[in-house]
Amino acid sequence: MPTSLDSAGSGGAGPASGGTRLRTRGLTAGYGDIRVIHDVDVEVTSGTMSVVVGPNGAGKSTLLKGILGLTRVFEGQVELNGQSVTGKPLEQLAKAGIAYVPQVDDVFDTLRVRENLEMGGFLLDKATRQERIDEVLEVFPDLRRKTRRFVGSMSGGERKMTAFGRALMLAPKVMVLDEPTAGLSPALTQVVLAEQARVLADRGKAVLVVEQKAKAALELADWAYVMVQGRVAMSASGREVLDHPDMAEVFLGGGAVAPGRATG
Amino acid sequence: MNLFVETLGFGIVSGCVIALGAVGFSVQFGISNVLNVAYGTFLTLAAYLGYLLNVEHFNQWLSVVVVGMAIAVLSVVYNRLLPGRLMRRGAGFVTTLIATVWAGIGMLYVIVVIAGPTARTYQVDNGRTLTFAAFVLTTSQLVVIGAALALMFAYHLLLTQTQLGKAMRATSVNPVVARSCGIPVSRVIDAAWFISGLLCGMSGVVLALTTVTFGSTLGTTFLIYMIAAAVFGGIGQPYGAMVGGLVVGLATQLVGAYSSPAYEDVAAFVILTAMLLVRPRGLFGTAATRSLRLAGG
Repeated sequence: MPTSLDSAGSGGAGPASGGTRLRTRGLTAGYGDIRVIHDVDVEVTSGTMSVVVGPNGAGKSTLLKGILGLTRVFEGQVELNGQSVTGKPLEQLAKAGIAYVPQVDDVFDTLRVRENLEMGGFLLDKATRQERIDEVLEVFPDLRRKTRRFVGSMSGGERKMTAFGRALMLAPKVMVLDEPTAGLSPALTQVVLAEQARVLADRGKAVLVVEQKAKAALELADWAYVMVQGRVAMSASGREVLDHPDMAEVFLGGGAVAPGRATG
Repeated sequence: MNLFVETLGFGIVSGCVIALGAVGFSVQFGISNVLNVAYGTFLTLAAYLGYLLNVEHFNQWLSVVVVGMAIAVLSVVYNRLLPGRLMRRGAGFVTTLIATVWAGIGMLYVIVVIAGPTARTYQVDNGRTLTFAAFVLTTSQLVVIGAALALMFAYHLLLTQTQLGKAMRATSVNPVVARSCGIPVSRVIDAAWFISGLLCGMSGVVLALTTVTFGSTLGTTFLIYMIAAAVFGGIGQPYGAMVGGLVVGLATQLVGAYSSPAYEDVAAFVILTAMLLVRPRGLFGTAATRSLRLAGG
């Protein structure tokens, strides 16, 4: 059932299709004077899910912070549909259609579920906000009976649903998810990735996911980027990355995939 | 028995005023994460501003409102100039705390230089004295109780029923997500400092009205009561500060009546210390839910 939450141009198959496109071009970012990621190109388009995987310390979180204007960008650009949004504050990115779900602190704990959704729709007028809440509750029917619960008292999966629902309130074109399965059980990891993140892409969103649990994420991803030591070491479909013989080495060994190898 | 009931009346009046101030103090900490020690100086400033109006025979209730508004505006300006600016530049909690100590002491000395060291006495119109059973209260004490309860109820409605109030709670618990919702966080913080300044200014004048004679130490003394009240209820928790204010008000008045007024401060310190020892997160604190969540619950 199509709603205003569904973006136009859904069902695209790969980063080259039409609709919305968020991309980084040669992004070099870090903290203070320290450059953590170097010359990173990633992109995500409507109806697809791109994942960024890599070992701890590879710079995945720094990449997201660079995209979201939360850390220092030394060089390169973040572009939304060809227009630079580099270094723009979160408030402006929200208005431009980019929603962000952080890793752990992703909800308003001391607010009720309904209030979380209302805050997600802060920029909307009252009537639209109410309609949008009804639509979000159709996407996440499990939340419908819990709208008066305080989110702080809910389970990890329910919290994540609330966080996604909150992010959907402005009907964003792009959703940036930072390790959505952090702290969740293996069963819930599957639910969050397959039934929530993947479904958002199938509804036409451009979904960019940074994920520590590489295997689960790669199985569902349209496109994947493997980051090693601050650089994109491999960029291919999720399946190809999964089948690549060096993958185990990247996560278990010392990052043996040479930058540039197998790219494209 | 009569002494007890009488003291209960005074305790409730005092508790209502302390609660108002404690809520204001708590708002600053809850939303900006700033422990603003200069709050005491703003209380003192309010008492002196109220005195200036009192000397001119200004209506005492109107002066509470006027001074409240003035302190509200000053509070916003102060936050933008000092704690807010430091936080934006990445100063830590302790650095900001120390800056507010410095600002509080500095501003207090300016007040003392201008106003002089002598204590001032308000011309207070207490209205008629009313007796209910053993309770003896003046009409102006009733006005204080009624206005304080009404203000707290209004603040409750603001927090739970309005977009601004919900945005204040949202900013308080998660500023990053608040920003990614498009909530204008800096305006919400201004609003919070306005409200806390309003409560601070009004309670400052009412404190001076109820103690009649005051000096430059008024703010420091009552700030301790308000911190005790805020900690009792769980710092940053508005409803906790309300309950804490009543508890501290009653406790200090009862101790004062049954031993000596000199021990009123001691009562506040005992409450503060006991709460920190027994239940540091306070009556309504959220440490429990937080630790549950970190444990993956």
